[in-house]
Amino acid sequence: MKVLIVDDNVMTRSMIKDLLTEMGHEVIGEAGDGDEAVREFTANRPELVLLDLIMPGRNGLQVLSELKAIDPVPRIVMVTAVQQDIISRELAEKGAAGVLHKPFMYAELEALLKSLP
Amino acid sequence: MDQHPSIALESLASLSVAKCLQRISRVSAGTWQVESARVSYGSVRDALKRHDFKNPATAVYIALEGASPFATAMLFDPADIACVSQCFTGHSFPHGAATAPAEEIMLTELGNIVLNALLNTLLNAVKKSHFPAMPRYDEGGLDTIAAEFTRIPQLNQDFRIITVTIDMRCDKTSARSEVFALVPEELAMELENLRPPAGHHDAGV
Repeated sequence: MKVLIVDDNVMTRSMIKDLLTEMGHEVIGEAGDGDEAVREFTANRPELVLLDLIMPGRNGLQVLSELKAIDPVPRIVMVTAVQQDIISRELAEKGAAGVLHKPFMYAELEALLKSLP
Repeated sequence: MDQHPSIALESLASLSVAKCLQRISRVSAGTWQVESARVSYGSVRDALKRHDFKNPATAVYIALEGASPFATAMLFDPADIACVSQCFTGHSFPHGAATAPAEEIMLTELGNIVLNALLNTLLNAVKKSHFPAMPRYDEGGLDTIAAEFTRIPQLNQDFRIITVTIDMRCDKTSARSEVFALVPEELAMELENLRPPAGHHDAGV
């Protein structure tokens, strides 16, 4: 799959990129905030977005809605340390295809990607 | 500082951090565990005093502002950063005179994971939610870090202070860190009322 990684932490982006590359996916873009995410999403049209929730500027919930408004087809998986029940429900309502909770293992990311519709 | 020991809060916080450290141990190079947990009452400064400021400390913290202000923090001794990075990333970042950007990024991500785990547990227990703030990073002595926290007016009050001391080991090195939650009294009481009374808690850590 062609993947866009959105996370303000460069260490996390690098780690996710290594895992995805090892799984055979193609990372076609990286973004550190909402503005970059929208630019990369529009320019590169990924099939999958891995989106952080807590970022400078607009948060991941707001960015999720923006990306879904641009194109609802690509699947968007939230990657976050936040596991609050009410926020998780809101993410699902806004169209997140799944949530990957930090810290996660290779097998957890792989299983989640395989389970995507 | 008045002491308001609360076994229920201790147990909840200790279990929450222990579960998070168990996950970190599975994905990182180190072994992480809870060393102790305690609950007291006092100001931000009282909380920070639990850390041994033999060197200026490094702090990662998340402050949730609003009607019910809430803060969590994780403090490190900069002398331990090589060990912390070895345990978390598998690579030792030798600590120089000043903190390198890579060290700040690594500590901020570690703090983000541990502090949110604690926030998740405390908020989910009372079926509440608070959109998390960006983790902030600061360095300095007790006065500097206390001043940074109390720039947020709502943190200029007394809280129930949960302190969880964690231990991390990798190869032959080990380090400690203190994790704090500053919980408003109203929320602390709500949390205590959800839990079994003292003597019946499940302190499985």
